Amino acid sequence: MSEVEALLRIRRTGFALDLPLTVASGEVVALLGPNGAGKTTALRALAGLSPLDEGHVRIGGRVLDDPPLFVAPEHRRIGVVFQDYLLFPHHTALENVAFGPRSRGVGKAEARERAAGLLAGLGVPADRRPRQLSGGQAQRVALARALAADPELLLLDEPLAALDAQTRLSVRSELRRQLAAFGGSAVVVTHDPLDALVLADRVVVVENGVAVQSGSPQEVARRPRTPYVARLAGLNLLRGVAEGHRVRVGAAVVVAAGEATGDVFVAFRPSAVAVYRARPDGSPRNVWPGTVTLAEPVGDAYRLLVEGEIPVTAEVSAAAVADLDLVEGRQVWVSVKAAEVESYPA
Amino acid sequence: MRGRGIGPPALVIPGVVGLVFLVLPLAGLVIRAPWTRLPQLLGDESVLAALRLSLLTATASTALCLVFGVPLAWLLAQPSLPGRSVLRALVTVPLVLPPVVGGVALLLVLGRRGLVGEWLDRAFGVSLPFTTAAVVVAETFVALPFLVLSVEGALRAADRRYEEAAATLGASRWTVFRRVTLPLAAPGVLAGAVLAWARALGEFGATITFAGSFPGRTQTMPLAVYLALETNPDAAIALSLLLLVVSVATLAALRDRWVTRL
Repeated sequence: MSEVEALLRIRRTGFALDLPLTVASGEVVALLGPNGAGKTTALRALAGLSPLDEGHVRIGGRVLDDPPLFVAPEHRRIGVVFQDYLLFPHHTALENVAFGPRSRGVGKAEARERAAGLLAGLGVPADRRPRQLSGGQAQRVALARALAADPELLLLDEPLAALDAQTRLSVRSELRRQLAAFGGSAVVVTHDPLDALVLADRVVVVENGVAVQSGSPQEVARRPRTPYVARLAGLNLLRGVAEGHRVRVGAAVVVAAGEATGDVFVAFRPSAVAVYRARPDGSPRNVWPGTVTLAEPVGDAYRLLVEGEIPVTAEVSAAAVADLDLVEGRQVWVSVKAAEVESYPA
Repeated sequence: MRGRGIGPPALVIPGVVGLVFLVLPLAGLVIRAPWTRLPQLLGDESVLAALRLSLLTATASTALCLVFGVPLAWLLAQPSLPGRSVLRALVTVPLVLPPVVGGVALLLVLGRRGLVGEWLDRAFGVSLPFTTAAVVVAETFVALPFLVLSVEGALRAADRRYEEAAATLGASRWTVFRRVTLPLAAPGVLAGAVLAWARALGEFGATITFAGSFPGRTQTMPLAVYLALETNPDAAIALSLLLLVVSVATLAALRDRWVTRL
């Protein structure tokens, strides 16, 4: 049992963290958010590196922080993988991994043996110092060091941020396997939605120190609740008032696939948006005029920003861009089929 | 030299004068040294006694500096320490104080009639002044700031987050200090120890004031040099040469650290 139950409240000048957080036994939760949202502060609060101003941290029923009560980090069993790993530069990989067990009173020979076993399993040379390790190896050593101390809860702060794109891909899937093998609860801080999607059972989106959305990665990606999440998921996000299929967004009306009443979000994919030079006739009910303000290539397609009554991001083929001469400043009409528009309560 | 030369004469000339001023006396020492009689002069029993005493006391005071100076530096490096800048200033005072003043101050506190000395004398029958221990005390007094400032600089330059990482791994604060903080600051500790040792070895003013100059007991090399100058100039030169060699060796051991750290 290592259920985490926390309310993290920390005030700094110009910033306040107010984040309720629960992690079920064995669950991996991702804290996803932009830089400066307070994700790392939340992690430090859980680890005991930044004491809470208010709130509490409980793990498996044991109170670790509940001002004025405070348990120092060395008396918590919380492993941390730091963003830049913080491997002790004067110790070898083996000594780094053996550090935790040694500090918790395991004999020197046994600690080193355990560390050697862990490192051999990861394919990392035990006698290297951190500066002689590749980025991927350093990441593995950092994880092994945290796990060797036998933590109840594992915290990972942007575990892949220090790696190049190539390495990140392989280390990410490896990390997923290692988290599964660890079996304990874990919190991963990241600004990369792909990390959250691959590593986490549940995502908590943090913006400006508060949780704005929580759910499974798929759920969050499909039904974003803030412009930030919509941008991450690559979706158009609008907010309006629904009355059946019709959703009033500002002065315009959007027709959605499902029915709803009251405050709703409306989301649709950029690839569901069609672009015309003249007002299209026929079936589509969602048709708006606008001006192309940005046209940029994305892969073998183009992403267009169309500003108008309803600002829309559209994804169109390069051929369409050439045929319709969709340069910036061009007056166009955009349309979205109602079947492609999802509405859900705000 | 082709091109624009080294620089304007207004800078080059005084610069060269300054260099000559620094180097010439040392060169003179080397040139005027009685090279042929050197083994005999340095082999003299009183010279050897002064040398032995100097090495012994300088090493002992360096050890004391490490024992008390490293923890003091650690305290000064704690961001949460109240009145830190005032304490740092106090530690720096002996650095700029004329050593002879330091000797007088030590006498006033640890002398037989001193604040602490009187009590020491009555309670334990211990009298510090004019003993070998007094030499060690005087040398420690002048050398300690060098060690403290060097170690404190190293501690402050070190990344504190390594200590946090160690704490999350279950290390007690003492273990963190021993296995993470101190090893990371080791170059600074070593540099500080070498500086302190060199400063202790060359100590004159505080030593002669507080410990006097008794051959074999409190007469260290610098004191022996000063006294020999009256009676046996050649011996003084030989001893000076020896101290010069030690100083240059110290500088070599520190290499660029001397220039960059202080």
